[in-house]
Amino acid sequence: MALIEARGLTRIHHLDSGRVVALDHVDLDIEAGDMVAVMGPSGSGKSTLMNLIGCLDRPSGGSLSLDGMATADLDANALAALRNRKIGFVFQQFNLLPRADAATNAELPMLYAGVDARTRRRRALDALARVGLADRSHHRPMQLSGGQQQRVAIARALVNDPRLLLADEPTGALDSRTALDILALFQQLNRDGMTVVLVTHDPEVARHAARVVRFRDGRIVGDTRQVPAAADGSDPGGGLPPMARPETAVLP
Amino acid sequence: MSFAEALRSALQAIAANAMRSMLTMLGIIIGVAAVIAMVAIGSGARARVTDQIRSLGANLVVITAGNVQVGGVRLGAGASSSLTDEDARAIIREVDGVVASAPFIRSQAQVIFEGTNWSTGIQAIDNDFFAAREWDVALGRMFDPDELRRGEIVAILGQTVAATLFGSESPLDRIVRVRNTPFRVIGVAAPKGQSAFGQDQDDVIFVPLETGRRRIMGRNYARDRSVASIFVKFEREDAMANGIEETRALLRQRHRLGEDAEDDFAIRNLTDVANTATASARTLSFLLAAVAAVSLLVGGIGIMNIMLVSVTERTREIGLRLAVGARPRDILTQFLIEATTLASLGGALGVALGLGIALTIARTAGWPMLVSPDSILIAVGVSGLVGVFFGFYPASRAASLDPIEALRRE
Ligand SMILES: Nc1ncnc2c1ncn2[C@@H]1O[C@H](COP(=O)(O)OP(=O)(O)O)[C@@H](O)[C@H]1O
Ligand SMILES: [Mg+2]
Repeated sequence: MALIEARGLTRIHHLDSGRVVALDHVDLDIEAGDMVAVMGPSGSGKSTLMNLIGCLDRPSGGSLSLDGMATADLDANALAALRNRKIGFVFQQFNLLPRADAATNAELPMLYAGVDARTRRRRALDALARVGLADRSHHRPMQLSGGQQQRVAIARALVNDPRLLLADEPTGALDSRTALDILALFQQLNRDGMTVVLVTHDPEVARHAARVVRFRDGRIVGDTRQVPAAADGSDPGGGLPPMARPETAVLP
Repeated sequence: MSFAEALRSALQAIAANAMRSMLTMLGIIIGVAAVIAMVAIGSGARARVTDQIRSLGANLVVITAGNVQVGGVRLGAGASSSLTDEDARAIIREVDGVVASAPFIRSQAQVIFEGTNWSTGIQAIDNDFFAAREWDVALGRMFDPDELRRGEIVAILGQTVAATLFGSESPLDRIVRVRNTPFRVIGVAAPKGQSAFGQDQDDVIFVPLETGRRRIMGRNYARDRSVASIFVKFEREDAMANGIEETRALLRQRHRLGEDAEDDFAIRNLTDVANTATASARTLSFLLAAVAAVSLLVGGIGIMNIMLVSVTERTREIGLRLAVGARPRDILTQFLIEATTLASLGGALGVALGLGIALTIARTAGWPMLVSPDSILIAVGVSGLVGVFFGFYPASRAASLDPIEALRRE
């Protein structure tokens, strides 16, 4: 069974001026351990999909199950717990608390997981080390570069050991060199077993994923597999991610 | 998130906007300061009144002579008085509820002992005086009936006079001179302390009424057996109003005053005088209570306002917290704790300010500084409740935010 299973997933916004179908009967399976890029023009429903998968939003129709659990059956508290334990979010705008230092920012999800202060600090520092910021734990967001801020946000997404990392345009606010560093980090996490779904409209970014799902007008219009480019500059054939397979079209 | 952590993050949020937080707390600070000052002033004033009544003697009335008219001519001060010790005896005999009726005359004179000169008050009294003033003799004895009747030249010294003239020696049976008359000391009165008007009540020498008339006060008192004043002590406070009216009627009758003649004496209820202080303290208390209520209300609204601003400013933070797993209830708690901390902090600062005000007023008015720990706890507790009450609406607004909307907000 796939980690993410969407069947007829639909999200409709009702406005005074009429209804907007943001997501239109989407069927999508994402296997555990995969690294998927979601592409498509602006307004095509990419963020809507991410918000639904991330349990930040509820579908208007269809079903979604995460790790075998139907999200429709879950109440607000259960959804909060799911976001807390199973999912790590990375945003385009980083969304760090400006007055808290890197370690405190990274600790945030553990505050809501009932982890004691000492364990929190240790795990936050571990996560910061994992993203290469061991020596920046006491820096505030303002004192860090964009790439470093995004690393703190990734560390924050990792602290509760989620199975799934959701990143909505994580490199959208970064220059291409820094974006490559972040992608290398995602690839590393993916090699370590993390399922990564990232939204981008940049083909250069999408090249680093093992699977590319294309959206237009709330529908999937393309779904391909590829050999991901190595973001750390190593031989693409060398360190293939576990899920990486030769490019194959999976749509009819 | 544990309570301690929530509190720490609330304090951080408050400190991050120190100036704004301070202004927000102002209403609470003033309100609580008013409460603390109010309670302190109330109990301080009450304590002082209780003290005064105790030092004066409870249920006490003083009758002073005045307005003596002889053949239509008003006599000046120092002339003969309208009150006599017969009046005093008639009062205790005929007025209900009187336990002591003490005629007395006061004067100022020099007292000399072995070259030490001391100016002090001389009170010519009988033994009823001690009963009326709830006063006692610490050393030696009171006057005996013969001494009073014959006007013997004996004296009882107040503590201050005894200490000034004799230091640590016993004054008993020593001779002190007043107006060239050698008085034998037969006793030392118990210490009484300051009067309501700040006078040292122990700076006094008591002599028998008759002796005072003949030797110290001058001829008029001796000629007509008059006295300057009479202390009348009643058994119970609720008997006083009636008793005072009876006394007045009795004295008018004894002085043969016609229907339309003015009183030739004045009756003052000393307990009333003391109670006036309580009444004005109570007025002040009501005023402060009103200030407190209005300030707490305004302070509460201020907190609600600033919390709404804070929720708006921190919408993205709330969205993020929801995204990483905070439940709406966690957000509600966070903002409630923040509002409550803000209010309680204001309460604590208000307590400090209130203590300062109470201390200043207590110093100025000369009464004890009385602040019960209860009133401090209640004040801080009430401000905390104000925080919870007025913080609830902003906090529930925060908790009901939609995470996606919140994250998208700039
Ligand atoms: N809260 C909303 N209210 C109304 N329309 C919305 C709302 N959120 C998204 N949409 C619409 O849904 C469509 C998909 O949006 P989105 O998923 O954000 O696109 P993308 O992330 O691919 O740019 C767009 O047409 C957008 O205008
Ligand atoms: Mg988007």
